[in-house]
This record gives sequence, structure tokens and C-alpha cells, in this order.
Amino acid sequence: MTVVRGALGIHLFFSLLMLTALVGCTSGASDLSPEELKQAIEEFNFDEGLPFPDFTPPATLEELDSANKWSDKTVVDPLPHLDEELKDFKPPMTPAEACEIRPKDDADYKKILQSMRIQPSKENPAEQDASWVHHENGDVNSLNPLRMSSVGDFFYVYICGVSATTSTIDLESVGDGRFIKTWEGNEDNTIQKVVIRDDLTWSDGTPITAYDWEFTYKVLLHPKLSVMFPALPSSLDKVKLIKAYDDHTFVIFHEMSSPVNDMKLEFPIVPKHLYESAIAVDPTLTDSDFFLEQEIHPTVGGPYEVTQRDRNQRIVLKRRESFYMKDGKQIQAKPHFAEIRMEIIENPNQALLAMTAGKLDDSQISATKWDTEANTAEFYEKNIKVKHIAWSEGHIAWNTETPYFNDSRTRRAMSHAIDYDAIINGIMKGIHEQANGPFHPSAWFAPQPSLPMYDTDLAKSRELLTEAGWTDSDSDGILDKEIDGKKVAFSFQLMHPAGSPVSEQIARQVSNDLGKLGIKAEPRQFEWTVLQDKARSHNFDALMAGWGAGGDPFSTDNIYGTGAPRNYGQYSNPEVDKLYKLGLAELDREKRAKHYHDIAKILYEDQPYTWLYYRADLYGFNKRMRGYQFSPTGPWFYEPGAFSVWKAQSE
Amino acid sequence: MLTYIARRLFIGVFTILAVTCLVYGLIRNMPGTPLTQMTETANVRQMMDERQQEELMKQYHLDKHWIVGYGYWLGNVFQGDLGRGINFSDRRRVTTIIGTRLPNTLKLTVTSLLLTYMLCIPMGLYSTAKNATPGERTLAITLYILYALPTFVAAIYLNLFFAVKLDWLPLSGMTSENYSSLSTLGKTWDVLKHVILPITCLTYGSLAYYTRFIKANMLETIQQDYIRTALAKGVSPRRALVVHAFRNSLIPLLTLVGLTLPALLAGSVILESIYQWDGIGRLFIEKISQRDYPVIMGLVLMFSVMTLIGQLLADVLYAVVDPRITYS
Repeated sequence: MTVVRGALGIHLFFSLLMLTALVGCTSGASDLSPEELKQAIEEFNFDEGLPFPDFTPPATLEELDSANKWSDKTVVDPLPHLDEELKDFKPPMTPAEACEIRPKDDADYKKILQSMRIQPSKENPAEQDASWVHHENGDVNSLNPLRMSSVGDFFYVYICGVSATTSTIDLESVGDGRFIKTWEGNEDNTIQKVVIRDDLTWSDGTPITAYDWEFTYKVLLHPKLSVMFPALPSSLDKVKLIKAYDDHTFVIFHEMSSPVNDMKLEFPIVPKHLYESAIAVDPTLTDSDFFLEQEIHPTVGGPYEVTQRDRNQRIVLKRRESFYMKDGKQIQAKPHFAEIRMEIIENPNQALLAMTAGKLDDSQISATKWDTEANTAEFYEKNIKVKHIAWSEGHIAWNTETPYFNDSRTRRAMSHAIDYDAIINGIMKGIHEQANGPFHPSAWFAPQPSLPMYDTDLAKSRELLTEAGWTDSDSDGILDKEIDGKKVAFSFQLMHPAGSPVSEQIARQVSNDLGKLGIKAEPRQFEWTVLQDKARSHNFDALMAGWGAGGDPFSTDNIYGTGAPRNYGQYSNPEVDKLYKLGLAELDREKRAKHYHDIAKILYEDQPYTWLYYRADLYGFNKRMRGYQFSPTGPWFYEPGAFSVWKAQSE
Repeated sequence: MLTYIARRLFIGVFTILAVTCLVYGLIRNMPGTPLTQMTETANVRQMMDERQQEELMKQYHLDKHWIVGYGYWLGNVFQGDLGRGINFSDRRRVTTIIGTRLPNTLKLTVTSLLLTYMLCIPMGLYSTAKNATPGERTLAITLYILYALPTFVAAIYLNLFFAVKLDWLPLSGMTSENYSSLSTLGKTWDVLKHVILPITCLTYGSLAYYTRFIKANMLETIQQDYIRTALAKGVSPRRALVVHAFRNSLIPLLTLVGLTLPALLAGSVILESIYQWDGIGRLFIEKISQRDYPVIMGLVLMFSVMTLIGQLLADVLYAVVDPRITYS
């Protein structure tokens, strides 16, 4: 027995040795003295990542002002601006009546949205100090706003963060009046001057200053830190410098004259007085006590602060009194909710059940459940459904470097072969609408009048295929073509993501449709990461996917521009490249729109993609929720977006 | 015995090295890298640039052959460092990532295992005593129906009834939002409410297996001469079954406990996903999808070590409880 015990001990010792790594090690807080901290900050050199180190901006504001002629850009205070906008607004019906609708068509959805647009009033009072239980289908990556990349991150940052600019419901850039007083641009929009409000404070009581903007910019571009920031550095592309001239004024210098320069100020800021020393001590942004604490109780400057974070469970945000009150006076519009709880439920079935049980105030609903589980009497007892067409699309990307799809006639033939009715009204039950290009017809940058939809026309497809050299020369039922002396059968793989029953059905439908022409399209599903890997390495024939809306069309050049990172199908048209460059530099809105209209027309002819549908945003709201409206990117990320939502008093 | 264990330990070291090397080679050669998902962001305007990607590739030795990467990983492990998560969703140390999830999984699996034993032992004894009676058949059929019922289906119906219709239990999550403000009793009750549904789903399926296992062993044991002798000497059938036969049937059951050890840590992907349970099962799947090599390797190391410990423990326990077994 003793022998056994001894032997067990040896094994356990060995195992523990192997497991020592699992015990882990943590680094503690900074124990540096103020002098040592100062030295660490100097040594870290926050200027190291400046893209134009030799650029010398004007030394003083006076010098800057004398060299530039400024014109005002729009700055709005979101909630008061909305109140003003709704002053004479008459909803088509009362919210109570709208809640009784079981929507059947787009007119019903429109009526509901119009009726719910209202803000609190004597006739429609809001519940005092209400809580909003908001559904997120995944946890935030981090509560450090600079590290945001997921949708949950964006929601948190939108609610708690500070940015100089935001966008309107039509996705136009505007200054956010909650944080800035004025925003001016010089004649060619290469320099913009921002004066911030002087009554802003971080949640630790320290004033928010223009230096916080300058500091955040430098942090985002710092070479030692950039691997920590997935998204934001790219949004500061072509920004030469952000310089604070005094506590309330900062200036952004751009590399080129462009209308999209207005979007560069949308990034959230972090408090310099805390982050400067913390980063100098811990450039990992994760290990030190400071950053660990920031992941639980971050220092924020926006209208809400975090009071509780349970990873993968929930984040509780509380309204910050110091944001809207100062010295006993109200300085900002009071946010509607006393508390916003971001409830994280990844499983869509569970989320829908929670919605049905009245445990969530809003939730996105998948198209497959829209007319089934989300259409029951139990669901309608506590909830209402809202649908709004977004500017995001679903498509089939053709790899234009393969022998099958290197000819635009073949790609057009594909687009004419697809049975859109079977996909839109059959598989998708009419929830989404057919698409005709990358830009939604309602966007200012889409051609007007709208380009016609590709219709199902097999005769036209056959004609185009014959023109492109695809015939059934050996009568085996499959089209073929001689390429470089070899006969190539028209047989390819149609790649689509695994785990999506809708994608699977569409792929099958497309395969059947193409089969009628003698084309063998084999649907193959891949795990998402494999699919992305294949797409990025252009290792595919055809790929079913979709793109979300970015608001401004300039960003689509990284999808259709020659050699662009997201140009998975390797499409190339020098004319399109030229038009993108023109569109990026053109300040006149009408002329600019023309460039994008031309791009849409060329893409329509070239068909690098077969655009299948524009995706609708599908949401459920608790019947007590009011004030929601949808921009083309959804209900939250515009001014006032999430802040316009409120909860009616219970009856 | 000592020689046997020393030999097993020696083999164990090489087994762990072989397993980790094989898994590292496999995951590094799967299509996609940690950067594949990371470069995509929720905003179409934003994307990681080339410089950032190259920096990350260097930092995690993704620019080198996988065997070199494995060498770096192994070297760090021997220095007590499993590295940190690559994916932006969690850049903490691997030990922290695993360490925060492990107790959550154990909360479910250990409770479920205890519950399984508590239910299966009496059911196994009952099935033996009442073998081939209508009562035993009914129990067996019921258990097999439960065995065949997929957990995700059971979960949906349990959720609909207990969480939506009756509103007695929470639908998902591990605690309520007001957990931190509750009293100790309140906290216990809150946790209990949250574990009832996942533990029910985790437990019911294994009842048939364990009950059957106990019954099969018991039926074999009660045929032994010493049981017949005990009965002949006037020991009551109940005492012969519970005290004499069952004690000997415990031996294979004990070895089963040892072999269950790795499964306790692995958690359940489906149930953790349904109940938003922040456990190891979900972590593993999530990290495989993200190709987060350091976390995957941390988990593989943990599972490998625990499997070896479990197997050795089972063998040693077998020798400890059964004097007939010797490894000399």
C-alpha cells in the first residue's frame, strides 16, 4: 500500500509539474514612483507611430486661423434635435393600437414604425427610472473602447463612449452636440477644427479635454500597441495628425481632400490622465491591475457607466448623473433609461423564448423564425415585430480568375439563370427583397432611376453562354469549352457557410437552376473560418456570402477595387478603380453621387457578383418599448439611435 | 507495483508530448489562422491592416514552420507559461481564460455525476432484485427512452414548461443580475435555480448507462458462491444484495469514476451553449473556430494530463480495492 501511495505521489508530482503552467502568473499593479512613471512615459514615446513625423502643424490657433477660411459643419444635440423634429409629427395611430397589429405586409411594418416613433409626452408618459433589457448575441470583446470590433462592442461604446462625431439616420456625418460645440472645415476639407464642450467629465470626475483626442489618436497608431486594436486604426487611414491646441480645441489634419474626412472623427476616446501611465507600464493593455479593473469598471465619458460585468452573461449600465447634471443644473438631455442591461444570450432559440416570456425588451430575430416561432399568440402577447430593409446584401461571388467566370457574359448568364422567385418568395418567404447591385436603390449613391432587376431568362442565359464559348460539344449533358487546347467541363463548386439552413437551400436552388443549362454546380458547405480562408486566398469557384452596410460607398472599393483586401473574386476593372478614386476626392455631393452611379452601372454589366437579396433587419420589441427608428444599418448606431428608445408606463 | 507505475509515468510523458505535438501540428495545418477571423470586424469600413497582421504573425510565431511554433510553445510550457489568447475576444493569459471557466463546468459535471450515482445505485439495486418483473421492465424502458432523447430537444421542452409557462426557473445564464446583492442563502438559491435545468439535461441521459452497468455487475455477483452461502446461512436477501453483493460490484464502478475524470473537465458543448453556461465545452469549440492556438493547446494539455491521471488512478484504485489484482 505504501508503495502504491509513493508511486501515486510521484505521478501526481509529475502531473503537477506539467500543470504548473495552468496555475498561471499575473503581473501586479504599477509600483512606480511619479518620477519613474514620468520616465516610463517618456521612454514609451507616444509619438512613435505618427504617420508623418516630419509634418509640422501651425504652432498656434491664431496662425492656423489666419491661414484658413473655416466653414461650419453641422453639430446636433441628438435628443433635443429629435424633439424639435417631432414637434408637429402626428403618428398614424396610437402606440397601443400599433401593438395590436400582427403585421402581414410592409405597409403594416411602416405603420408600426411610424406610430412608435414618438417621444415621451403627457399623453404618452414614460416610466420613470425604467430599465431596458437589451439582447446581445455575444459578449463584448473588451470594455476598452479602443479594442472594439464586434457588434456588442459597438453597442457598449455607443452608449458609454465619447466621440466627436456621429451620423444621422440617413448616415450623414454630424457633430455630436453632447460632446462638441463647434466643428469647422477649411475650404478643401483637409483641416477640421473642433471645439469641445467645457462641461464634460470622465466618470472619475476629471474633465474631458481636447488632449484626450490627441492622445487616443497617437495610441491607436502606436506600433507597439497596434496589434491590440482590430478595427480603429484603419478608420484613421490618411489622417496626418490630430493636435490639441488648448483644453477645448483640437484640429485634425488630413492627408488628402475628401468628403469622407468627416467620418474620421467617429472614433471613441480614452482618458489620457489614466491611460498614458498605464500603457507605459503595461503595453499589453490586459495584464496590469489597472486594465483588469477597466474591464470591469471602465472610466467612461458618455451618458452611462458600467456597474456590473459578468463575462458572457450580462453588462449592466447605469445612467451617469454627472453626465447630464452639473452644480445642480441640468446641462444635457437626461437619457431615458436609469439602467440598460445588455443580456447576452448566444443561442437564438433561447433568446426568442426569453423574448416570448417578456424577459427581453428587444432582440434581433432570425428570418427562419420570423413566420414561425415569432408569429405565435404567445409571442404577440408581450411583443411586437418590426421589419426594415437594411443596406446589406446577400450574393454569389464569382471568382473571375477561374476559366468558368473570367468572362462577364458567363457571369451575366449565371444571373439570368437563377430563379429569384423561388429564392425570395419560396425559401425566404418574401422577408427579404431582390437585389440588383451593391447599393440599395434607396441610397443616394444608387443609380436613379433604379437599374432593372435581373430576371430569370434561360434563353438569354443560353445565348450568353454560347457567345462565351460554352457548348455541349460531346452531348454529355454538361457544357464544355476548349481552353488552352484542353476541354473543360462547366462543373464547379458553390461554396457556402455551414450551419445556415437558408444558405443551404439557396445553394441547392442555384445548383438546380444552373443544372437546367447543363452546368454542374456542386454546393459545398465549409466551416466559417475555412470558408474565409479560402475566400481570402481566392481558392474557390463561387462563394455565397453577404456584405453589411458601411453607410458611405467609398468603403466598397475594398470589395470591388483591383487587388483590394476583400476583393475575393479578383474582379478588376480599371474604370471602376478610377471612379472610386474620383468619388473619394470629390467634395460636391451630386458629382460624387454620379461617380458611384457609374460604378453601380459597370458592376451591373460586369456582374462580379450575382446579387440575390437585400437583407431586412428583423426585430422584436416588448410592447412597452417606444421611440425606435431604423437607419439603413439598424436601429442603434446613429443619432439619437439607441438614445431615442424609451419605455411606456405599464397599464 | 512501483515499477509498473514508473513505467506508466515514463510512457505518460511521451504520450503527452506526442498528443500535444500531434494536435499542434493538426491545428496549425487546418485551413485558416487566428488572423482569419480577427481581420474581419463588424464595421465594413474597418479592417486590420497588413502591418498589424504581420506583427501578430511574428508575435505568435505563425510566420514559422509549425514544428518551430511547437518548440516555442513547449519551451514556454516548461517555464510555466501557456501564453495568452490570440483572438481579440480574449487576450488574457491562457491560464486565466481556462481558470475562470473550469469551476463553471465542474459545477455542472460534478453535481451531475454525483446525482447520477445517487440515482443509479438504488435503481441498479432495484433492477437486480426485481429482475424481469414488470416494474424492472418499466424502469428499463423509461431509462432507455430518456437515453434516446436528445438533450437539446429535452432542453427546449423543459425550458418551455418550467421557464416560460410556469416561470419557475431562469431560461439561461449562471446567476441573476442581482446576484451580488443577495444574501448567502439567496445566492445559494439563485445558483440552484440556474443549475436545475442544465443538470437535469446533463444527467438523465446517463441514468440508463450507469443503472445498466450496476445491474449487469450485480447479476454476475449474485451468482457467486459466497452469496449463495450467505443466503444459506440465513442472511436476508436484502442484506445479501446490499451488503455482500453490492460491495463487490463497487470495484468496476470505482474504475469508472477514474475514467470519468477527463469528461468532468470537458463539459458539454450543447448544454453550455443552450444555457449560456460559461464553461470549458463552449470555450473549446469557440477557440477551435477562432484558431486560437494557445488556448486550444492549453485545453489539450489539461485534458491529456487529466486523462493520464484518470487512467492511472483507475488502475491503482482497482489494485487498492481488490486484493486479487496485483501489478507486480
